[in-house]
Amino acid sequence: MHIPDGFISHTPTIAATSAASAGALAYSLRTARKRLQDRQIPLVGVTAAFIFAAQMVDLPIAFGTSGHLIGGVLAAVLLGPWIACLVMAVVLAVQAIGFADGGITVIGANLSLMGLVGAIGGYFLFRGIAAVLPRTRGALLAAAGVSAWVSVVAASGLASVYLLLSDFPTQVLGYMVGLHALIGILEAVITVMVLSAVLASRPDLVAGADRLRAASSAAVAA
Amino acid sequence: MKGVRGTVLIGLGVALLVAMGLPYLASGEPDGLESAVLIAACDGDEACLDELAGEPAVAGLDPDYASGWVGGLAGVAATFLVISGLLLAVRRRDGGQRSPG
Repeated sequence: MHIPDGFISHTPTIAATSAASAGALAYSLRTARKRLQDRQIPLVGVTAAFIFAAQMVDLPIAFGTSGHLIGGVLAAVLLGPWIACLVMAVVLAVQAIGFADGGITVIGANLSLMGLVGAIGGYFLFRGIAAVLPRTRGALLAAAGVSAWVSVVAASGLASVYLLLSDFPTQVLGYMVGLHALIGILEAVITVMVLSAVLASRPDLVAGADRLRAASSAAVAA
Repeated sequence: MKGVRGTVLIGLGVALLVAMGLPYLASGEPDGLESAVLIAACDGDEACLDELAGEPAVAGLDPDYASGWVGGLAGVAATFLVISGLLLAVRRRDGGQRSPG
């Protein structure tokens, strides 16, 4: 879903998405400075590296369309929403500067899709769903999978709004959301696979698993 | 928190394997955004899609390298180093001191 430079001709879209993304990044950096411990830094680095790698792998989906992981919900469940937003920003910056993947002039728009909607929005949806489910590993994975799917579909809807503001035909909205409803399944599957692997080996490294830990320590205490 | 060195090394290994090995198997078909624009705005004409996308403002690596193992290695290394460097710099801004608790 990386928007190239030429797609967005509507200057207010660029200005608004750049401002929103800059604000989120500033808050993310503040959170990193206050909350992150130095020994967590390599874990953030390796999450970002994995998401960059996974985004290189375009898998065929349907109707001659391919898709790849975005990783917003994955990063947010592992690291929390604000550090995840930083991860998405760095991945997008490396892609835009080194790989001509996603335009540099629209990096704010792309971060609004993958960081603001994908990581931050997806994270709060994940928390909301997890809050009404039992405190089990399966429920946590289900909440992450559903949030991953919704975040991709929601991001495709917002991307369509940007395109419509730049005078693309209205039909683009239906195709975007329809295709991403399929691509979102890939997002959900990879997100659940990776999270379940990390939960199986190092559940202490999954920020979004705090309710699981609370449940298991309560069980031990009882 | 237990040590993280093993986890970080395994994670980096997986990232490198994925980035250097799998893109060769990746589909060259348009992604969801390109497909939607191709159908809705270009009537299936790929030249029209390229024209709408425009020349990237920053060209980056040669595409032959970018989509191969060199690009995968360079991208994974750059991503890891840039975010680690950024976070170290941000953490050092308060003097690298952490008040206990």
